[in-house]
Amino acid sequence: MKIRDILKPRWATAVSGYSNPTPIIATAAIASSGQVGGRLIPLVILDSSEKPALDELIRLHAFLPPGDVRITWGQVKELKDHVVLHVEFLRPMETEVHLEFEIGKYGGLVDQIFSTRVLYVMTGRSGDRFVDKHDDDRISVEIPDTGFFKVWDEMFYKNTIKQMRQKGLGRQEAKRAAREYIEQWRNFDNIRV
Amino acid sequence: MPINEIDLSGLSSAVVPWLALLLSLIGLYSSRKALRLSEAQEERQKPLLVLYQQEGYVRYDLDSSSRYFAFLLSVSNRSDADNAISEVLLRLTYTTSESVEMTVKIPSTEKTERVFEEFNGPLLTVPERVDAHQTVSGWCYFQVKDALLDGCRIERHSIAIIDSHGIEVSVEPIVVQEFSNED
Repeated sequence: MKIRDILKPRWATAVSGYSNPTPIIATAAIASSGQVGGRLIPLVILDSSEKPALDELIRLHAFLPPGDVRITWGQVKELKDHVVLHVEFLRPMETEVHLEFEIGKYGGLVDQIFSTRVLYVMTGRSGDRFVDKHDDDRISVEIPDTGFFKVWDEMFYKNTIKQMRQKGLGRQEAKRAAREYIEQWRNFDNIRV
Repeated sequence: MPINEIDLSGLSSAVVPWLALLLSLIGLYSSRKALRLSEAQEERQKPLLVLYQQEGYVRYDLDSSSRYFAFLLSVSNRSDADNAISEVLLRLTYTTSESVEMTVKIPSTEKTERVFEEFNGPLLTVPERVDAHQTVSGWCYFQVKDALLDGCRIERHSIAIIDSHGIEVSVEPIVVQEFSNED
C-alpha cells in the first residue's frame, strides 16, 4: 500500500501519510428550498465497504446534534491533475475520508464545493446510483475554503484549457473558451429553487 | 622579606583572577537556580485539570425511548492558572451487529427532571470556571436514544472534559449502576 505525500500549497495545510483514497461511486447535485438558500449542493456517494465507520457516522447523525469536522485541501505530488480533500470527522465519531478528485472528471463538482461550501455525503456500494438511493440517509458537511481556492482556480482554468486544446482549439481560443466555460458554469451554480 | 616590601601589585594580580573566577562560579550557580525556579513556576502555569467520577447511574425511560446517564463528577485544577470546563462528553464504545467496534461522543444535556427527579445535587454546568487550585463538583446528564444503540452491545463508557485550551482529560473505565425507584 503506497503512502502518498501531499505537497503543501502556499495556502493550504500539508497532509501526508495517507494510503488509498475513499472510492467515489457516484456524484450528483441536489437542491432543496430552505437549505443553503435553495442552491444546488454537490453530493458524493462513497464506497464504505472498507470503511464501516462511515455508515455508522451517517446513522448516528439521526440521533445526535451536528458534529465537527476538520478539513484539509491539497494536491498530490504524483498526480498533477488531481486535488485532494481530506475530511477528518471529530464528532460525534472520529473517522476520516480522503477524497482524490481528478480535475478532468470532477472539476465541476469541486468548483461547486468551493462555491456552496457544503458537500452531501452518502455511502453505498460499487454500482449504486443516486436515483436508486435518493431516499437514503446522508449528511451535509461544511467545507470551508482554507485558502486553497486561489490554487484551485488556477488548476481548474489550466485543466479546462488543456481539455479545450484536446478538442482541437488553438491556444488563444482555448484560453477564451476556458474562461467562458468556467464563467457559465459558475452562473449555473447560482441557480436557486 | 619584610611585609612592607611585599609587592602588593603582584599579589593582587595573582589573587584577583581567582577571586573573579570564584564570583562568577557563584553567579553561575545562582542564575541556574533562578532558572530552575522560573521553569518550575512556568510549569505550574500549564493547564492541569484532574477529573474524578464519584457516582454513575443509568435509567431507562420508555416514554422517550431513551436511556439517561447521570454522573457525579469533581474537577480539580492543580495549576497556578485559572481554567474553565468548556465541554463534557460521554464516550460510548459499542460493538455493532456487524461486530465492528465504534465509539460515539455524546454531549451533555440538561437535567431531565422527570427522569432524575430524585437527584437534587448541584449541576455541573458548562462552561464552568475552575480557579487555580480549586475543585468544582456536580452532576452531568446525557441522553442516548435507544435507536442509536439498536442491535449494539455497549463495551465501555468513559467521561471526558475539555478545558478552555482544548485539552481533554478523561476517566475510564467507569462503572454505571442502573438506577430505579425502590418501592
